[in-house]
Amino acid sequence: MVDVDLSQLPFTLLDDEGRDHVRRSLDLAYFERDSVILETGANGEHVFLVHKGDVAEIDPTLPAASARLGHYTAGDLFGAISILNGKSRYRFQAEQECLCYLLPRALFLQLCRQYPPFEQFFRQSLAHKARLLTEKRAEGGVTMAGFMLASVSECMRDPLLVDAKSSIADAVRTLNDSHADSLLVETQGTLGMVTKTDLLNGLVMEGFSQQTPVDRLAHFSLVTVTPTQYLFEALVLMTRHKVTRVVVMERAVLKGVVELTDVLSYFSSRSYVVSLQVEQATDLNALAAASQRTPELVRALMAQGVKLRFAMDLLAALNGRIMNKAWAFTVNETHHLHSCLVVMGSEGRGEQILKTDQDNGLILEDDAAWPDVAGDMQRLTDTLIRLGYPPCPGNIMVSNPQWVASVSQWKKRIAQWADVRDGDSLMKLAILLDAHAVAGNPRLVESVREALFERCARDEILLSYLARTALRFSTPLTLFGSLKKPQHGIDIKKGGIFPIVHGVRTMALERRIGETSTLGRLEALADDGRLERRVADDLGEALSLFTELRLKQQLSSQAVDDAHANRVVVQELSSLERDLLRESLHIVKDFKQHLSHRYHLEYS
Amino acid sequence: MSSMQQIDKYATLVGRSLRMLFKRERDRRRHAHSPYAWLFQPYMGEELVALACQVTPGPEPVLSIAAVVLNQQRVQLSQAWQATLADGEATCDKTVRRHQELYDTQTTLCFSAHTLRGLAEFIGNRPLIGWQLEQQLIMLDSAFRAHLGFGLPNAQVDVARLHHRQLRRRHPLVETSCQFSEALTCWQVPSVAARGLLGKATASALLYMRLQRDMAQSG
Repeated sequence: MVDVDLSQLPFTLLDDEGRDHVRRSLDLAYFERDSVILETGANGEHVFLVHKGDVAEIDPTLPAASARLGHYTAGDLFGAISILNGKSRYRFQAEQECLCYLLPRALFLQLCRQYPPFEQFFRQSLAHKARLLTEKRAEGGVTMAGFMLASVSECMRDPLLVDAKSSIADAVRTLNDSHADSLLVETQGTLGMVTKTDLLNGLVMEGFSQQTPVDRLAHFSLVTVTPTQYLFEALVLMTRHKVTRVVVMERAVLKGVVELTDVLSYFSSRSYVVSLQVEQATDLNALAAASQRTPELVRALMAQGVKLRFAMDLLAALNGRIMNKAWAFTVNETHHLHSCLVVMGSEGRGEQILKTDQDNGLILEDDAAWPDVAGDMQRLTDTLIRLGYPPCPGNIMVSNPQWVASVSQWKKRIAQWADVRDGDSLMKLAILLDAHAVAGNPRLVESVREALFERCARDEILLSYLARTALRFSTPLTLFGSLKKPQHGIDIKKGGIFPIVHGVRTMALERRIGETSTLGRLEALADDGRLERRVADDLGEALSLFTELRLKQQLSSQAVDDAHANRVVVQELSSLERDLLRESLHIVKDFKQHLSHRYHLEYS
Repeated sequence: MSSMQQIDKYATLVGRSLRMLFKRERDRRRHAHSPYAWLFQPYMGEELVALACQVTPGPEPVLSIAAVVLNQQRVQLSQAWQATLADGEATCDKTVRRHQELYDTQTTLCFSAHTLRGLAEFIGNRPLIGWQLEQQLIMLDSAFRAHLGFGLPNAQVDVARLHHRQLRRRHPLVETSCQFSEALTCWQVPSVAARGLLGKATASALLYMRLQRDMAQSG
């Protein structure tokens, strides 16, 4: 007789006799890795109770990324619903070598008849699953509906209207100034469209001179839409008429232009639109409008399942551009060459997804003459606040004179911090390590970093002090290696993100790696041989997972500075996510051990 | 896979002594017209029987057996055959009870032609596998001879021997041990939730399946 553990649901719904019956009738089956245990549409002959290994539930009709519906490990039960339904809706596939106990179909049905609660359990979980699936669809559907219901007015550009008598040269200049691809000309009450291609053809193929009036090139048969029409109607019109732009008219008044690239990027992720908006912004208001759209962009990217790493890169680039623009608006151009605006902390590492507080500083050349630097920097900070970057609670901002200094002053400070080695200095060193230039002369930050490496990379005592901080928060795993499950959730930032980021930062300092993003540092450390490639990859994946979980939490809790934004409630995760989280936390734990071994933190 | 199996059968055949072969041939001829003749037919199917025995020797020996049928993928645990065999009324009660407790057998049968015929019918002409099978079978074999007039005619695969051979093939210098539990950990065979002798039989079946896969992979 098999002594299998039947003290779990649903077997607790049976009495001793029923359980005994189950025990007597179990067979044991072995499945090789990747073998299909139960095919879609196959008749269920057994209920499977996993004894060892992993089984995935797959919907083969879905694309590979979303095809995995469920995941079963030791102690889990599957195949029951297939028997109740008559045939299996999904494919069950062994992810590893698997041992399963088989409960024959006949006995299962007999048990269902004898013990109604037992049957109820499976009917219920069937309903539960169906509900989950519809919820999942709806989740993706809402975002998609947002795109489908977008109207033309949300995506159109302001029209670029030039006088009919202006020359080709003027037209080209106007196009370049406004980063546009086409312009409209008005002659005798009719509108005409001139594109860049038209201009090229006119100059090269037709042999017009640069002074030719632009209306000679214009097309006067325009495709028009109204601002209230749906965007996809515009797309349909473009396809039908084989054009790439349509003109938006409202009661014979010109309102704007919709270009194909705009529509497509609107339908894809709007990333293009936001970055274009940033580029085209000519004043602070336009920039603020563009900046406010980044959270929306993040949500769209997440809904489409874009890998977080690429989303982070995109966002980092966008944030960098926004800051650069803000800098250009507030700081006189004469100062651009001998100063450098750096972002630090998560922004410097390019790991800031939603706008958290601004951490920035200014590096000046030694002999720079900039009398009103304090006033200018105060204005820059205010501008950034207006753009949606909240002020830093620790006051690590350019408005604080402590974070504005010349190169030699910075070097002096570094030496001082490295000598003192107290908590505050160590934190400042760590923050400065992530410094990344966003505007001005990037050579200045390089020279400061060089000095930092020179002073600190060989200082074993300092490194060990720095590394110790990474061990400050305990990993939320129990003594037996399973996840801790406090009710208010585990702090993913302290337990997962911080140890990886800080440990990798310390190692990057030791190996003088100039890269600032954690993933980039991991890559460099693996190239360097300091970390095994496998370990580095694992750490990168773990970090991505933590960031993703945190991002989901932040998007749902809306307020980024909320204390709960970093808390992940384990009970709410799916079993797959829980598994991943546990694995990742184990990776963190191993990494901490590695750190304490390398930097001799055992007794500190 | 099939060629490997061929070689395995061949190797096990050669592994058994020539004397055994002659004995079996003699038995086959003697029983050619008895109801047991089919037991001597060569087995053409896919199934095997994993066997585990425990003997308490003495003037009145007690023997516990668990046998379970397996094929390439499945161990038919639900149709296992297990029993403690003891000698009729002369049985030492204590020993039998100890066997039942230790090896988790629930039925007690006496050594008789009837019982052994039942076992023979369960096993049929399928090959037997087990850990150090020859030692385990000594008692059973003599019981067969005493009551039915022939020894166990089945082809036998000693999983211990397979284990040693495969281990040497992979790591020529490794010291192999004869412990069953060590072999299980060595091949990462998970512990099965079956107690007593049936657990041992199932574990040896799983180990056999594991070794077969390993041989198929290493070619």
